[in-house]
Amino acid sequence: MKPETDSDNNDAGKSETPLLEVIDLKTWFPIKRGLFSLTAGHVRAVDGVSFVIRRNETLGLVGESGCGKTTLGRTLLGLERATGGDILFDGISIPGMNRRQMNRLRRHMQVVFQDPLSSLNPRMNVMDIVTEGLAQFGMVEGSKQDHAAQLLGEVGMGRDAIYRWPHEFSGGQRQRISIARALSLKPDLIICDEAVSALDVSVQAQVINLLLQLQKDYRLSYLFISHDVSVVSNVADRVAVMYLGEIVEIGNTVDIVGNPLHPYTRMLIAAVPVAGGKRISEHVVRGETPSPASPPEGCRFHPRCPDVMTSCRKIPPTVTEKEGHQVMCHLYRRT
Amino acid sequence: MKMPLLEIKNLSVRFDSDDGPFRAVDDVSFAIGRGESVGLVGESGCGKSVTALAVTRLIPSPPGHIESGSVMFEKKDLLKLGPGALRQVRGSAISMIFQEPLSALSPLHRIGRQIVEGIRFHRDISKKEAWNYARQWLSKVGLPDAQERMYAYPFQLSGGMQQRIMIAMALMLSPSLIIADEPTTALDVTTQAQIFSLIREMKQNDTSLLLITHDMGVVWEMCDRVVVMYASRIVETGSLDDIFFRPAHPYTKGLLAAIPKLSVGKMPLHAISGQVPSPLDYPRGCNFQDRCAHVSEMCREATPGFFKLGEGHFAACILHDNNFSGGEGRDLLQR
Repeated sequence: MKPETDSDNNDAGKSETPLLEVIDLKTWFPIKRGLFSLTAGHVRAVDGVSFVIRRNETLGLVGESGCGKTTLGRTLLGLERATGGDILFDGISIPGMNRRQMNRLRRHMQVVFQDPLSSLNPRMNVMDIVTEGLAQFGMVEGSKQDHAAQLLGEVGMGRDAIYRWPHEFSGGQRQRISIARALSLKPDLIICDEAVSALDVSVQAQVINLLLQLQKDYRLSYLFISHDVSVVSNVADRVAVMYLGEIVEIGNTVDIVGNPLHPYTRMLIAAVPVAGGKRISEHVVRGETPSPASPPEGCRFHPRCPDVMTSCRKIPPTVTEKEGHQVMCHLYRRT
Repeated sequence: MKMPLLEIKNLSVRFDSDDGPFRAVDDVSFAIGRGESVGLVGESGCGKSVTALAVTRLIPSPPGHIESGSVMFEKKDLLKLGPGALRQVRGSAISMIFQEPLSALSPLHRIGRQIVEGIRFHRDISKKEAWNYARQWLSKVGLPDAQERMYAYPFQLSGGMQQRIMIAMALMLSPSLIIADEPTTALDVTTQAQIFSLIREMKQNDTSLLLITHDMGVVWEMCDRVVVMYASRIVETGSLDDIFFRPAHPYTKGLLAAIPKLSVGKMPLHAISGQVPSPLDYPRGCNFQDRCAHVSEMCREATPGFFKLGEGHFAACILHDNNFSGGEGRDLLQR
């Protein structure tokens, strides 16, 4: 069964408040230079990003290294301070929160990172790892062992794992432990930051299927961050494409994959090697990604764009929307 | 098939770990013809990189030992060459491209100096000539401002540029064999696509390529023939079409099915159940037995030999043994 997605109607908040609403979010990092560490400029890692994630929905976030996707995830989690804009979780603004409120909120928002070995404490056994959050919030009822075993059961691991240590497990198993830990507090939203990227394909498929199953069972929402368009297209209801700090295109997966509008999205999809399919044509990709510290003027993609026009070099494009499919490109400007 | 340039026969490599000895490469044999591109694929830990390192005798010893086998290259057994003769082969007749260009380049020396050093080790030319030659190659591989880049340190360049430099260094002395170990794994897909066309363009017709990768899509883009490894052994080898359209080993089939394909919506993937066995306790018989849907008693008894399925297409699976229970094997596979 597929979770229902409102494909034609993208108006947020028509029937219910979206679980997460991000409005014009900016996360800038200062560049310090010289003797007095004066701020010489900013790396605009996230530069005016807006989107919503509804309940029981997966938003895939794709982009290449340095596009700001990880910073975006970290800002949502409160691990980076937002420079501007707003994040509404269930209608409540996050940037204005104090530490205690933020800690309480973390129960509802969990994260699974790329490298499970560096995100699992090597000095804690699996039982303590997966129940640490429960203990923190005083939610342990009965024995910790039972809680741990039940959580590990959810992710397809046996009770015998609870007294073992992270290093004893393979990458796939460790990622299951990370997922069990994320699930322990019954969150509404899990941010998966390259959660399956380090895994071998045969194991990657297992973990992806597990995430899909858990979403059905617990009505979870995911923000699924990945550099891999193929992986994202298999897990996401909607996809956002990020380039140099901006979301250049966002829409239902079927539209993004079947009818990509932004030249960057097209380039990204065309560059994915398809085993047994059409070979990547030469020169599908032009140029290199510029530094986010000095993004090009006008449209940030214009130096690499095959469809570049005069206006692209000077005027930053605005968002055009059609049936929930938004694109930031002069080609689709309403006339 | 053309006269093989490199022929690996019955290669076995043992590692002595703290937990005991294990075979990282077990009885591996394959050949690479002149001008041929062979993909060596498998998941992490399957022994593909160790095989490549054994060819150039770069396995750290201890803990590694080449137990048996031969590697014939231009009528010489590389495993029997002395250190001096070996150094003449490496970098000149056989060159390597590694996954992490940043760790393959010295961080302390400028690019130009590193390249010149390599050229002058193998060719008796003046510093100035070597410098000019290096600069020409940097422009050839599409590095902008080659003259300036010669004075840059590796960290000042992007990953894509670093890999272009590695490729220039690998091709500069017109080797007869290039060994590329995951050359594009650390790069973004768009950069990867550019590196593919670069290798294709630069590789002369009689240069052979051994491409080591976990990514079937990369093999499809770059290779003529495929060798599939699983848990230290070769399980299947054949032409590109054999492997992608007529895969015979259950592991190859599973691997191909598990690759996430561009999809227009959420879709569970075909996972291979279970995990790769630890090299410390490989089972008796076929190493894939515990994950295989077609496992039988015989699989648990003896290591399967290779069965011929067509010209140059072999699979190490008894399902293809026509004598096995009166040809029942093929029926089993059909199901």
